[in-house]
Amino acid sequence: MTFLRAVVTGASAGIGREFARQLAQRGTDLVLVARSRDKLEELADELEVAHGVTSEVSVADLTMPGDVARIADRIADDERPVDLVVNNAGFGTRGRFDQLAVDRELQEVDLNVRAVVRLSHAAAATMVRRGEGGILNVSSMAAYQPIPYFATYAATKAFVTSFTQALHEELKRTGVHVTVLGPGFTKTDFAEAAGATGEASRLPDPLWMEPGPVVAAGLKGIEKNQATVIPGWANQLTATVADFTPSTITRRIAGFSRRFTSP
Amino acid sequence: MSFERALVTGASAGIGRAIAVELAGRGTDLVAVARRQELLEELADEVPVDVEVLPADLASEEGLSRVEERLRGGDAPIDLLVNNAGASDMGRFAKLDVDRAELQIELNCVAAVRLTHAALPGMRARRRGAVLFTSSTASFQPLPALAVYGATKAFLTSFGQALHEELKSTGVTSTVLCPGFTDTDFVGDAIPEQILMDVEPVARAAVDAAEKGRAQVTTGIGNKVHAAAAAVLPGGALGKLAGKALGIG
Repeated sequence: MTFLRAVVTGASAGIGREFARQLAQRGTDLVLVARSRDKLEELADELEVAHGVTSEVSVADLTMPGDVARIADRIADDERPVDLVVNNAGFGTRGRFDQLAVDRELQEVDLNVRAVVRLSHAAAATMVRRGEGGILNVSSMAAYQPIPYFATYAATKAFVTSFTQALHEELKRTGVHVTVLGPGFTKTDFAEAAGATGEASRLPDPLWMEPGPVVAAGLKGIEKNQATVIPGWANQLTATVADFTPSTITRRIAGFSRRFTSP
Repeated sequence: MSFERALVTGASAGIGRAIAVELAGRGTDLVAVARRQELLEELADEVPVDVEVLPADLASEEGLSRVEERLRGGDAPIDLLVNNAGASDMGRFAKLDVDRAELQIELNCVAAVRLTHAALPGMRARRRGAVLFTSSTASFQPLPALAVYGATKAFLTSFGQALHEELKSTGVTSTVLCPGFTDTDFVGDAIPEQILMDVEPVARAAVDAAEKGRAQVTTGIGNKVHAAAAAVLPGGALGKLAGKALGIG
């Protein structure tokens, strides 16, 4: 399946920008969504020069319902059809839950959960009608076990993985592909934004991946309509172990890992 | 630890009401939260303890703020928060009303996060308290036809367990209740009677687990088997089975 036009949220940096680049390389036109107009316009220019694709720049803050509705309308627009939606925008907060600012926790749920559900709904309804398309939701290895001091983040990712896997089953035989991508530690600004750079730098090197192979695995997965894609052997091993381990034990491992995640 | 005063959301019916009655039977005073005041009044008349009736719609900003305020202050501190109110909507996600999907996120996740955040500082300061989350065995695998509901419960199970670890040695605990299909209005006639569990034993197990400060409690033998299967089978495998069972996927 080759995609003609993809919406990528959180396209200004990290995994989202890499999605835009690799899709452009395959000749897919883009709708680039993020808060920063400058970064999106720069990326749009780069992709046009390098790959000759057209990019729409759509400045939006997906923690805001009005902005989410605007992107949902764009996804449902039959005049300029979108056949792939990459729900990538998201962030994490680190710290003792009761000491974190609750407004920021709620924005995290708004962006990581609510926007994903709204945009997936616009995509699913439109694409099922057309009998083709793809929905690729970027979750995280954090979906596979509770994470103390990342409690809300891990919960939002548990949501995205469960939701997307269920949607994959529901949309079988509709022609619409649905994939959840569960990256582990990826070399992006994520850790910095979450205030966890010190801990991140202590992690062993094999756990780290560049955005390139993470995104390549995601795109391969959505083309083949794989329900779940875990990029990298170290992450696959972790996910398999977590899947086959009773939750009482994964929770305690998570508890043990407090020494790495505690502020 | 037995509790002095518990705030229970969704206390007007189903598991929430049963938990309120169970707590009252153990001498715990109540703050009963739900939308319908008359049902809360009925509960208050029925139980032998002091009950504050606090009608509130937890999907509204106004309702949530009022309950947050009660958790933060008041002369009688809350030492047990039961995050039980929830909603579900069954059907193919693509065809469901997206506002109903969002309501599930509001009630099942956002309200629980906000109320817990309001309750914890006081509990930690007093070094005494507990939070109980009504999650579901739906959190153990993706659920086609209940895609958003299952995901909200996966959220709660992850969140409640992470908090359990964060709260170690603070005097405060977090417990996740994972009932399977329970005989309440919530499931309606959708589920065959044979696999439904009565609500009273679910409530008893929930309060026992909260008193002991356990991380998670799964009620019913069938559900324990389910939890064990979920623990040793890849998530996708159970999701496929669930889809087949529900005739979707």
